[in-house]
Amino acid sequence: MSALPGPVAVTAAAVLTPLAEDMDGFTAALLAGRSAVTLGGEDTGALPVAALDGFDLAAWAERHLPGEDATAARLRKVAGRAALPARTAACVALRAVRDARLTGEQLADGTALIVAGSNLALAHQAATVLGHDRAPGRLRASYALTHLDVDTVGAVSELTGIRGEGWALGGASASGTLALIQAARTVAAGWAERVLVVAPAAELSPVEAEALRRTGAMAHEHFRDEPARMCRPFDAARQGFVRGEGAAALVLEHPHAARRRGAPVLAEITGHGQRLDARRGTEPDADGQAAAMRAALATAGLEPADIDYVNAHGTGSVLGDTTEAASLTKVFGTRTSLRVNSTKPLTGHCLSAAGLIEAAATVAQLRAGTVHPNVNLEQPDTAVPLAGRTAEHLPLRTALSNSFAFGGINASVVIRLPDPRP
Amino acid sequence: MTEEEIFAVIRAQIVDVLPETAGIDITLDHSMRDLGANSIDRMDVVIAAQDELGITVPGAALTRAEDLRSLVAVFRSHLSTHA
Repeated sequence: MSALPGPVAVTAAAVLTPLAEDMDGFTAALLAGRSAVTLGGEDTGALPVAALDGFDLAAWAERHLPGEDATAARLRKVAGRAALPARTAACVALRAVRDARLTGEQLADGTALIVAGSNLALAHQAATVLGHDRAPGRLRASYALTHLDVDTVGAVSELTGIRGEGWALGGASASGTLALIQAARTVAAGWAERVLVVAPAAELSPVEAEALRRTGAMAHEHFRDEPARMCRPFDAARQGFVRGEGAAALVLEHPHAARRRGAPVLAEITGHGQRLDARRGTEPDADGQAAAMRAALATAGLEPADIDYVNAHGTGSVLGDTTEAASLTKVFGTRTSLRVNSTKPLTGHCLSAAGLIEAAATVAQLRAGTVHPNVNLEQPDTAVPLAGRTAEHLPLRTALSNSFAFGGINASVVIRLPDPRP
Repeated sequence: MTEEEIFAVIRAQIVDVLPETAGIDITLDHSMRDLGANSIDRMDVVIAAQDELGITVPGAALTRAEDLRSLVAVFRSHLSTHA
Protein backbone atom coordinates (compact mmCIF):
# COMPACT_ATOMS: atom_id res chain seq x y z
CA MET A 1 0.00 0.00 0.00
CA SER A 2 1.42 3.31 -1.02
CA ALA A 3 1.36 6.43 1.16
CA LEU A 4 -1.98 8.13 1.62
CA PRO A 5 -2.55 10.97 -0.87
CA GLY A 6 -3.46 13.44 1.88
CA PRO A 7 -6.37 15.84 1.96
CA VAL A 8 -7.26 18.19 -0.89
CA ALA A 9 -9.10 21.38 0.03
CA VAL A 10 -12.43 22.42 -1.45
CA THR A 11 -12.27 26.21 -1.58
CA ALA A 12 -15.46 26.94 -3.50
CA ALA A 13 -18.68 25.21 -4.49
CA ALA A 14 -21.31 26.54 -6.87
CA VAL A 15 -24.57 25.02 -8.07
CA LEU A 16 -27.23 25.78 -10.62
CA THR A 17 -30.30 23.62 -10.06
CA PRO A 18 -34.06 24.12 -10.25
CA LEU A 19 -34.01 24.22 -6.42
CA ALA A 20 -31.58 27.11 -6.12
CA GLU A 21 -28.68 28.77 -7.89
CA ASP A 22 -26.47 29.49 -4.89
CA MET A 23 -25.15 27.31 -2.07
CA ASP A 24 -27.16 28.98 0.70
CA GLY A 25 -30.42 28.53 -1.17
CA PHE A 26 -29.43 24.99 -2.14
CA THR A 27 -28.64 24.08 1.48
CA ALA A 28 -31.96 25.51 2.67
CA ALA A 29 -33.90 23.62 -0.03
CA LEU A 30 -32.17 20.33 0.83
CA LEU A 31 -32.74 20.64 4.56
CA ALA A 32 -36.38 21.57 3.94
CA GLY A 33 -36.72 18.52 1.69
CA ARG A 34 -38.04 20.56 -1.20
CA SER A 35 -38.37 18.64 -4.47
CA ALA A 36 -38.03 20.24 -7.90
CA VAL A 37 -39.70 17.30 -9.67
CA THR A 38 -42.68 18.11 -11.88
CA LEU A 39 -44.40 16.34 -14.75
CA GLY A 40 -42.60 17.36 -17.90
CA GLY A 41 -45.72 18.14 -19.93
CA GLU A 42 -49.48 17.86 -20.10
CA ASP A 43 -49.89 14.60 -21.99
CA THR A 44 -50.53 11.34 -20.17
CA GLY A 45 -47.17 9.84 -21.14
CA ALA A 46 -45.07 12.81 -20.03
CA LEU A 47 -42.08 11.78 -17.91
CA PRO A 48 -41.42 13.50 -14.58
CA VAL A 49 -38.34 15.71 -14.50
CA ALA A 50 -36.63 18.30 -12.30
CA ALA A 51 -35.88 20.62 -15.22
CA LEU A 52 -33.95 23.87 -15.50
CA ASP A 53 -36.97 25.35 -17.27
CA GLY A 54 -36.57 28.98 -18.04
CA PHE A 55 -32.82 29.02 -17.43
CA ASP A 56 -31.56 32.09 -19.24
CA LEU A 57 -27.88 32.95 -19.26
CA ALA A 58 -28.42 36.70 -19.65
CA ALA A 59 -30.89 36.76 -16.74
CA TRP A 60 -28.47 34.67 -14.63
CA ALA A 61 -25.76 37.24 -15.38
CA GLU A 62 -28.04 40.06 -14.23
CA ARG A 63 -28.70 38.30 -10.94
CA HIS A 64 -25.14 37.15 -10.24
CA LEU A 65 -23.06 39.94 -11.75
CA PRO A 66 -24.85 43.13 -10.73
CA GLY A 67 -22.95 46.23 -11.75
CA GLU A 68 -20.36 44.16 -13.61
CA ASP A 69 -21.44 44.85 -17.14
CA ALA A 70 -18.14 43.88 -18.78
CA THR A 71 -18.07 40.41 -17.16
CA ALA A 72 -21.74 39.86 -17.92
CA ALA A 73 -21.17 40.87 -21.56
CA ARG A 74 -18.20 38.51 -21.80
CA LEU A 75 -20.29 35.65 -20.40
CA ARG A 76 -23.01 36.33 -22.96
CA LYS A 77 -20.52 36.61 -25.81
CA VAL A 78 -18.46 33.52 -24.96
CA ALA A 79 -21.24 31.13 -23.97
CA GLY A 80 -24.53 32.74 -24.95
CA ARG A 81 -24.98 30.73 -28.14
CA ALA A 82 -23.56 27.44 -26.92
CA ALA A 83 -25.75 24.46 -26.05
CA LEU A 84 -27.28 24.15 -22.57
CA PRO A 85 -24.37 22.16 -21.07
CA ALA A 86 -21.77 24.81 -21.93
CA ARG A 87 -24.09 27.67 -20.95
CA THR A 88 -24.78 26.22 -17.49
CA ALA A 89 -21.12 25.24 -17.02
CA ALA A 90 -20.00 28.78 -17.83
CA CYS A 91 -22.28 30.19 -15.12
CA VAL A 92 -21.27 27.82 -12.30
CA ALA A 93 -17.59 28.02 -13.29
CA LEU A 94 -17.63 31.80 -13.12
CA ARG A 95 -19.45 31.68 -9.78
CA ALA A 96 -16.94 29.19 -8.33
CA VAL A 97 -13.74 31.00 -9.33
CA ARG A 98 -15.17 34.28 -8.05
CA ASP A 99 -16.28 32.70 -4.75
CA ALA A 100 -12.80 31.16 -4.43
CA ARG A 101 -11.37 34.66 -4.94
CA LEU A 102 -8.85 33.44 -7.47
CA THR A 103 -6.85 36.07 -9.33
CA GLY A 104 -6.29 36.09 -13.08
CA GLU A 105 -2.69 35.14 -12.44
CA GLN A 106 -3.60 32.15 -10.28
CA LEU A 107 -6.06 30.94 -12.92
CA ALA A 108 -3.62 31.38 -15.80
CA ASP A 109 -0.77 29.63 -14.02
CA GLY A 110 -1.27 26.58 -11.81
CA THR A 111 -4.97 25.87 -12.39
CA ALA A 112 -6.36 22.93 -14.38
CA LEU A 113 -9.90 22.34 -15.63
CA ILE A 114 -11.86 19.09 -15.65
CA VAL A 115 -15.33 19.00 -17.18
CA ALA A 116 -17.51 16.09 -16.03
CA GLY A 117 -19.50 14.15 -18.59
CA SER A 118 -19.60 13.09 -22.19
CA ASN A 119 -22.34 13.16 -24.83
CA LEU A 120 -23.58 16.20 -22.97
CA ALA A 121 -25.56 18.09 -25.62
CA LEU A 122 -27.88 15.31 -26.80
CA ALA A 123 -31.00 17.48 -27.10
CA HIS A 124 -29.06 20.07 -29.10
CA GLN A 125 -27.76 17.32 -31.39
CA ALA A 126 -31.20 15.82 -31.95
CA ALA A 127 -32.81 19.22 -32.62
CA THR A 128 -30.08 20.09 -35.12
CA VAL A 129 -30.43 16.79 -36.98
CA LEU A 130 -34.22 17.18 -37.21
CA GLY A 131 -33.83 20.83 -38.27
CA HIS A 132 -31.32 19.85 -40.93
CA ASP A 133 -33.78 17.34 -42.33
CA ARG A 134 -36.41 20.08 -42.71
CA ALA A 135 -34.14 22.94 -43.87
CA PRO A 136 -30.58 21.86 -44.75
CA GLY A 137 -29.58 25.43 -45.70
CA ARG A 138 -30.02 26.62 -42.14
CA LEU A 139 -27.37 24.36 -40.62
CA ARG A 140 -24.98 26.60 -38.73
CA ALA A 141 -21.25 26.20 -39.20
CA SER A 142 -20.95 26.64 -35.44
CA TYR A 143 -22.62 23.25 -34.91
CA ALA A 144 -19.16 21.85 -35.72
CA LEU A 145 -18.23 23.23 -32.31
CA THR A 146 -21.46 23.24 -30.30
CA HIS A 147 -22.09 19.49 -30.60
CA LEU A 148 -18.77 18.69 -28.90
CA ASP A 149 -18.23 18.22 -25.16
CA VAL A 150 -15.03 20.23 -25.49
CA ASP A 151 -17.07 23.31 -26.34
CA THR A 152 -17.61 23.43 -22.57
CA VAL A 153 -13.85 23.15 -21.98
CA GLY A 154 -13.24 26.03 -24.41
CA ALA A 155 -16.02 28.25 -23.07
CA VAL A 156 -15.04 27.77 -19.42
CA SER A 157 -11.33 28.24 -20.04
CA GLU A 158 -11.93 31.42 -22.05
CA LEU A 159 -14.20 32.85 -19.36
CA THR A 160 -12.01 31.95 -16.40
CA GLY A 161 -8.62 32.38 -18.09
CA ILE A 162 -7.51 28.87 -17.06
CA ARG A 163 -4.48 27.84 -19.13
CA GLY A 164 -3.34 24.68 -17.37
CA GLU A 165 -4.46 21.18 -18.34
CA GLY A 166 -8.08 20.75 -19.39
CA TRP A 167 -10.28 17.80 -20.32
CA ALA A 168 -13.77 16.46 -20.53
CA LEU A 169 -13.96 13.24 -18.50
CA GLY A 170 -16.86 10.89 -19.15
CA GLY A 171 -18.32 8.09 -17.05
CA ALA A 172 -22.09 8.39 -17.58
CA SER A 173 -23.86 8.82 -14.21
CA ALA A 174 -20.55 8.56 -12.33
CA SER A 175 -18.91 11.37 -14.34
CA GLY A 176 -19.16 14.02 -11.60
CA THR A 177 -17.54 11.77 -9.02
CA LEU A 178 -14.89 10.52 -11.46
CA ALA A 179 -14.01 14.12 -12.31
CA LEU A 180 -13.71 14.90 -8.61
CA ILE A 181 -11.42 11.89 -8.15
CA GLN A 182 -9.20 12.92 -11.05
CA ALA A 183 -9.09 16.48 -9.76
CA ALA A 184 -8.12 15.33 -6.25
CA ARG A 185 -5.36 13.15 -7.71
CA THR A 186 -4.11 15.97 -9.92
CA VAL A 187 -3.74 18.25 -6.92
CA ALA A 188 -2.36 15.55 -4.58
CA ALA A 189 0.25 14.58 -7.17
CA GLY A 190 1.28 18.19 -7.61
CA TRP A 191 0.36 18.22 -11.31
CA ALA A 192 -1.53 21.44 -10.63
CA GLU A 193 -1.97 23.68 -7.59
CA ARG A 194 -5.69 23.64 -8.05
CA VAL A 195 -8.39 22.27 -10.33
CA LEU A 196 -11.72 23.75 -11.30
CA VAL A 197 -14.11 20.78 -11.66
CA VAL A 198 -17.24 21.64 -13.61
CA ALA A 199 -20.25 19.43 -14.22
CA PRO A 200 -22.47 20.93 -16.94
CA ALA A 201 -26.19 20.25 -16.99
CA ALA A 202 -26.59 17.11 -19.10
CA GLU A 203 -29.33 17.03 -21.71
CA LEU A 204 -31.30 14.13 -23.07
CA SER A 205 -33.26 14.25 -26.28
CA PRO A 206 -36.73 12.68 -26.21
CA VAL A 207 -35.15 9.58 -27.76
CA GLU A 208 -32.71 8.82 -24.93
CA ALA A 209 -35.39 9.63 -22.34
CA GLU A 210 -37.80 7.18 -23.99
CA ALA A 211 -35.11 4.50 -24.34
CA LEU A 212 -34.35 4.84 -20.63
CA ARG A 213 -38.07 4.56 -19.85
CA ARG A 214 -38.17 1.37 -21.92
CA THR A 215 -35.36 -0.16 -19.86
CA GLY A 216 -37.84 -0.04 -16.97
CA ALA A 217 -35.51 2.12 -14.89
CA MET A 218 -37.63 5.30 -14.90
CA ALA A 219 -40.50 6.26 -12.62
CA HIS A 220 -43.56 7.21 -14.67
CA GLU A 221 -46.70 5.38 -13.54
CA HIS A 222 -47.52 6.02 -9.90
CA PHE A 223 -48.02 9.28 -7.95
CA ARG A 224 -48.53 11.24 -11.19
CA ASP A 225 -50.88 13.59 -9.36
CA GLU A 226 -48.02 14.34 -6.92
CA PRO A 227 -44.82 14.34 -9.03
CA ALA A 228 -42.65 15.31 -6.04
CA ARG A 229 -43.40 11.84 -4.61
CA MET A 230 -42.37 9.92 -7.75
CA CYS A 231 -38.65 9.49 -6.94
CA ARG A 232 -38.58 7.24 -3.83
CA PRO A 233 -35.11 5.81 -3.13
CA PHE A 234 -35.08 2.80 -0.78
CA ASP A 235 -38.88 2.98 -0.37
CA ALA A 236 -41.00 -0.12 -0.95
CA ALA A 237 -43.17 1.76 -3.48
CA ARG A 238 -40.23 2.98 -5.60
CA GLN A 239 -40.59 2.52 -9.35
CA GLY A 240 -37.47 4.01 -10.94
CA PHE A 241 -35.47 7.19 -11.24
CA VAL A 242 -36.61 10.67 -12.19
CA ARG A 243 -34.37 12.77 -14.40
CA GLY A 244 -33.02 16.10 -13.23
CA GLU A 245 -31.06 18.94 -14.78
CA GLY A 246 -28.41 20.80 -12.87
CA ALA A 247 -24.82 21.98 -12.95
CA ALA A 248 -22.14 22.35 -10.31
CA ALA A 249 -18.54 23.53 -9.97
CA LEU A 250 -15.98 22.93 -7.23
CA VAL A 251 -12.53 24.39 -6.78
CA LEU A 252 -10.06 21.84 -5.40
CA GLU A 253 -6.78 23.11 -4.14
CA HIS A 254 -3.64 21.95 -2.43
CA PRO A 255 -4.12 22.76 1.28
CA HIS A 256 -0.80 24.64 1.32
CA ALA A 257 -1.83 26.72 -1.70
CA ALA A 258 -5.19 27.47 -0.06
CA ARG A 259 -3.52 28.45 3.22
CA ARG A 260 -0.89 30.54 1.43
CA ARG A 261 -3.51 32.72 -0.19
CA GLY A 262 -5.76 32.75 2.89
CA ALA A 263 -8.65 30.98 1.19
CA PRO A 264 -11.37 29.57 3.45
CA VAL A 265 -11.58 25.75 3.21
CA LEU A 266 -15.18 24.52 2.97
CA ALA A 267 -14.30 20.83 3.19
CA GLU A 268 -11.64 18.33 2.17
CA ILE A 269 -11.57 15.40 -0.21
CA THR A 270 -9.56 12.82 1.70
CA GLY A 271 -10.17 9.57 -0.14
CA HIS A 272 -11.50 8.18 -3.37
CA GLY A 273 -12.06 4.84 -5.02
CA GLN A 274 -13.20 3.57 -8.36
CA ARG A 275 -13.82 -0.01 -9.41
CA LEU A 276 -15.22 -1.70 -12.52
CA ASP A 277 -17.55 -4.69 -12.55
CA ALA A 278 -15.91 -6.20 -15.65
CA ARG A 279 -19.41 -6.47 -17.06
CA ARG A 280 -21.04 -4.48 -19.85
CA GLY A 281 -24.59 -3.36 -19.30
CA THR A 282 -26.97 -1.53 -17.03
CA GLU A 283 -27.14 -3.88 -14.02
CA PRO A 284 -25.45 -2.81 -10.80
CA ASP A 285 -23.13 -5.07 -8.81
CA ALA A 286 -22.88 -4.94 -5.02
CA ASP A 287 -19.35 -6.34 -4.98
CA GLY A 288 -18.03 -3.61 -7.29
CA GLN A 289 -19.83 -0.94 -5.27
CA ALA A 290 -18.46 -2.23 -1.98
CA ALA A 291 -14.97 -2.44 -3.48
CA ALA A 292 -15.13 1.21 -4.58
CA MET A 293 -16.32 2.32 -1.12
CA ARG A 294 -13.58 0.30 0.61
CA ALA A 295 -10.95 1.74 -1.73
CA ALA A 296 -12.16 5.24 -0.88
CA LEU A 297 -11.93 4.50 2.85
CA ALA A 298 -8.48 2.95 2.44
CA THR A 299 -7.04 5.96 0.59
CA ALA A 300 -8.47 8.19 3.32
CA GLY A 301 -6.87 6.00 5.99
CA LEU A 302 -10.30 5.46 7.57
CA GLU A 303 -12.39 2.57 8.89
CA PRO A 304 -16.07 2.20 8.04
CA ALA A 305 -16.85 3.26 11.64
CA ASP A 306 -15.33 6.70 10.88
CA ILE A 307 -18.05 7.55 8.38
CA ASP A 308 -20.96 9.57 9.81
CA TYR A 309 -23.01 9.98 6.67
CA VAL A 310 -23.38 8.45 3.20
CA ASN A 311 -24.84 10.32 0.25
CA ALA A 312 -26.10 7.29 -1.65
CA HIS A 313 -26.31 7.01 -5.40
CA GLY A 314 -29.93 6.07 -4.52
CA THR A 315 -31.74 6.67 -7.77
CA GLY A 316 -35.06 5.10 -6.81
CA SER A 317 -34.51 2.27 -9.28
CA VAL A 318 -35.96 -1.02 -8.00
CA LEU A 319 -32.84 -3.14 -8.54
CA GLY A 320 -30.35 -0.28 -8.12
CA ASP A 321 -31.43 0.58 -4.57
CA THR A 322 -31.59 -3.07 -3.49
CA THR A 323 -28.03 -3.51 -4.77
CA GLU A 324 -26.73 -0.37 -3.08
CA ALA A 325 -28.44 -1.35 0.20
CA ALA A 326 -26.58 -4.67 -0.05
CA SER A 327 -23.22 -3.01 -0.75
CA LEU A 328 -23.72 -0.49 2.08
CA THR A 329 -24.48 -3.37 4.46
CA LYS A 330 -21.34 -5.22 3.31
CA VAL A 331 -19.21 -2.18 4.10
CA PHE A 332 -20.92 -0.63 7.11
CA GLY A 333 -22.87 -3.48 8.68
CA THR A 334 -25.93 -2.32 10.57
CA ARG A 335 -24.39 0.44 12.68
CA THR A 336 -27.30 2.67 13.71
CA SER A 337 -25.26 5.86 14.17
CA LEU A 338 -24.67 6.04 10.40
CA ARG A 339 -27.08 8.07 8.27
CA VAL A 340 -27.78 7.44 4.59
CA ASN A 341 -29.85 9.60 2.27
CA SER A 342 -30.30 10.28 -1.42
CA THR A 343 -30.45 13.79 -2.88
CA LYS A 344 -32.17 12.60 -6.06
CA PRO A 345 -35.82 12.95 -4.88
CA LEU A 346 -35.07 16.67 -4.54
CA THR A 347 -32.85 17.43 -7.54
CA GLY A 348 -33.79 14.52 -9.80
CA HIS A 349 -31.03 12.32 -11.19
CA CYS A 350 -28.75 14.85 -12.89
CA LEU A 351 -26.96 12.04 -14.78
CA SER A 352 -23.35 13.02 -15.50
CA ALA A 353 -23.62 16.03 -13.15
CA ALA A 354 -25.16 14.03 -10.29
CA GLY A 355 -21.87 13.16 -8.57
CA LEU A 356 -20.67 16.75 -8.39
CA ILE A 357 -24.05 18.16 -7.36
CA GLU A 358 -24.22 15.52 -4.64
CA ALA A 359 -20.66 16.33 -3.54
CA ALA A 360 -21.86 19.93 -3.14
CA ALA A 361 -24.92 18.63 -1.25
CA THR A 362 -22.61 16.61 1.00
CA VAL A 363 -20.43 19.65 1.72
CA ALA A 364 -23.60 21.64 2.46
CA GLN A 365 -24.88 19.05 4.95
CA LEU A 366 -21.51 18.60 6.69
CA ARG A 367 -21.25 22.35 7.15
CA ALA A 368 -24.85 22.59 8.38
CA GLY A 369 -24.32 19.65 10.77
CA THR A 370 -27.60 18.31 9.46
CA VAL A 371 -28.60 15.50 7.11
CA HIS A 372 -31.39 16.32 4.70
CA PRO A 373 -34.52 14.17 4.80
CA ASN A 374 -35.42 11.21 2.62
CA VAL A 375 -38.71 12.93 1.88
CA ASN A 376 -40.42 10.02 0.15
CA LEU A 377 -39.30 7.25 2.47
CA GLU A 378 -42.67 6.07 3.72
CA GLN A 379 -41.94 2.35 3.98
CA PRO A 380 -38.21 1.55 4.05
CA ASP A 381 -37.31 -1.48 2.00
CA THR A 382 -33.97 -2.11 3.75
CA ALA A 383 -32.36 -2.21 7.19
CA VAL A 384 -29.75 0.37 6.11
CA PRO A 385 -29.85 3.30 8.63
CA LEU A 386 -31.65 5.76 6.39
CA ALA A 387 -32.32 9.39 7.29
CA GLY A 388 -35.96 9.99 8.13
CA ARG A 389 -38.54 12.22 6.53
CA THR A 390 -37.38 15.35 8.33
CA ALA A 391 -33.90 16.88 8.57
CA GLU A 392 -31.80 15.62 11.46
CA HIS A 393 -29.18 17.64 13.32
CA LEU A 394 -26.11 15.47 14.01
CA PRO A 395 -22.42 15.88 14.81
CA LEU A 396 -21.19 15.26 11.25
CA ARG A 397 -17.53 15.16 10.39
CA THR A 398 -16.86 12.61 7.64
CA ALA A 399 -19.03 11.55 4.70
CA LEU A 400 -18.91 9.21 1.73
CA SER A 401 -20.61 10.04 -1.57
CA ASN A 402 -21.42 7.27 -4.06
CA SER A 403 -21.96 7.34 -7.82
CA PHE A 404 -22.57 4.32 -10.01
CA ALA A 405 -22.97 4.16 -13.77
CA PHE A 406 -23.92 1.96 -16.68
CA GLY A 407 -20.92 0.08 -17.97
CA GLY A 408 -20.17 -1.31 -14.50
CA ILE A 409 -18.57 1.84 -13.09
CA ASN A 410 -18.53 2.37 -9.30
CA ALA A 411 -17.06 5.45 -7.65
CA SER A 412 -16.90 6.82 -4.10
CA VAL A 413 -15.31 9.84 -2.49
CA VAL A 414 -14.65 10.67 1.15
CA ILE A 415 -15.51 14.27 2.03
CA ARG A 416 -14.87 15.66 5.50
CA LEU A 417 -14.82 18.91 7.39
CA PRO A 418 -11.30 20.29 7.87
CA ASP A 419 -9.63 19.92 11.26
CA PRO A 420 -10.43 22.87 13.50
CA ARG A 421 -7.57 25.38 13.28
CA PRO A 422 -5.19 25.05 16.25
CA MET B 1 -33.82 43.24 -54.27
CA THR B 2 -32.30 46.53 -53.15
CA GLU B 3 -29.02 46.98 -51.37
CA GLU B 4 -30.95 48.17 -48.32
CA GLU B 5 -33.10 45.02 -48.25
CA ILE B 6 -30.06 42.75 -48.51
CA PHE B 7 -28.29 44.73 -45.80
CA ALA B 8 -31.34 44.40 -43.53
CA VAL B 9 -31.17 40.60 -43.87
CA ILE B 10 -27.46 40.56 -43.03
CA ARG B 11 -27.92 42.94 -40.12
CA ALA B 12 -30.68 40.78 -38.63
CA GLN B 13 -28.44 37.71 -38.83
CA ILE B 14 -25.54 39.57 -37.22
CA VAL B 15 -27.74 40.55 -34.28
CA ASP B 16 -28.98 36.96 -34.05
CA VAL B 17 -25.45 35.56 -33.94
CA LEU B 18 -23.98 38.43 -31.87
CA PRO B 19 -26.73 39.64 -29.52
CA GLU B 20 -24.32 42.21 -28.09
CA THR B 21 -24.56 44.17 -31.37
CA ALA B 22 -28.27 44.87 -30.82
CA GLY B 23 -27.46 48.29 -29.41
CA ILE B 24 -24.99 49.21 -32.16
CA ASP B 25 -25.81 51.18 -35.30
CA ILE B 26 -24.40 48.66 -37.77
CA THR B 27 -23.30 50.36 -40.99
CA LEU B 28 -21.98 49.21 -44.35
CA ASP B 29 -18.51 50.37 -43.30
CA HIS B 30 -18.34 47.88 -40.43
CA SER B 31 -16.69 44.52 -40.88
CA MET B 32 -18.05 41.58 -38.93
CA ARG B 33 -14.67 41.33 -37.28
CA ASP B 34 -15.12 44.94 -36.01
CA LEU B 35 -18.40 43.80 -34.49
CA GLY B 36 -16.70 41.02 -32.52
CA ALA B 37 -17.41 38.05 -34.80
CA ASN B 38 -14.88 35.23 -34.95
CA SER B 39 -14.52 33.02 -38.02
CA ILE B 40 -17.31 30.63 -37.01
CA ASP B 41 -19.63 33.54 -36.15
CA ARG B 42 -18.95 34.99 -39.62
CA MET B 43 -19.80 31.69 -41.28
CA ASP B 44 -23.03 31.44 -39.26
CA VAL B 45 -24.08 34.93 -40.42
CA VAL B 46 -23.16 34.36 -44.05
CA ILE B 47 -24.86 30.94 -44.24
CA ALA B 48 -28.04 32.08 -42.51
CA ALA B 49 -28.24 35.21 -44.69
CA GLN B 50 -27.85 33.14 -47.86
CA ASP B 51 -30.58 30.80 -46.68
CA GLU B 52 -32.84 33.78 -46.02
CA LEU B 53 -32.07 35.24 -49.47
CA GLY B 54 -32.43 31.87 -51.23
CA ILE B 55 -28.93 31.92 -52.74
CA THR B 56 -25.74 29.91 -52.50
CA VAL B 57 -22.58 31.90 -53.08
CA PRO B 58 -19.28 30.05 -53.67
CA GLY B 59 -16.90 30.40 -50.73
CA ALA B 60 -14.19 32.00 -52.85
CA ALA B 61 -16.43 34.98 -53.68
CA LEU B 62 -17.18 35.47 -49.99
CA THR B 63 -13.64 35.47 -48.71
CA ARG B 64 -13.00 38.62 -50.76
CA ALA B 65 -15.73 40.50 -48.86
CA GLU B 66 -13.84 42.55 -46.29
CA ASP B 67 -16.63 44.75 -44.97
CA LEU B 68 -20.41 44.59 -44.99
CA ARG B 69 -20.58 46.85 -48.06
CA SER B 70 -18.66 44.32 -50.14
CA LEU B 71 -20.66 41.40 -48.67
CA VAL B 72 -23.89 43.15 -49.73
CA ALA B 73 -22.36 43.69 -53.19
CA VAL B 74 -21.43 39.99 -53.53
CA PHE B 75 -24.95 38.91 -52.53
CA ARG B 76 -26.53 41.52 -54.81
CA SER B 77 -24.53 40.50 -57.85
CA HIS B 78 -25.31 36.85 -57.13
CA LEU B 79 -29.03 37.65 -56.84
CA SER B 80 -29.05 39.54 -60.15
CA THR B 81 -27.10 36.95 -62.12
CA HIS B 82 -29.03 34.01 -60.66
CA ALA B 83 -32.47 35.64 -60.67
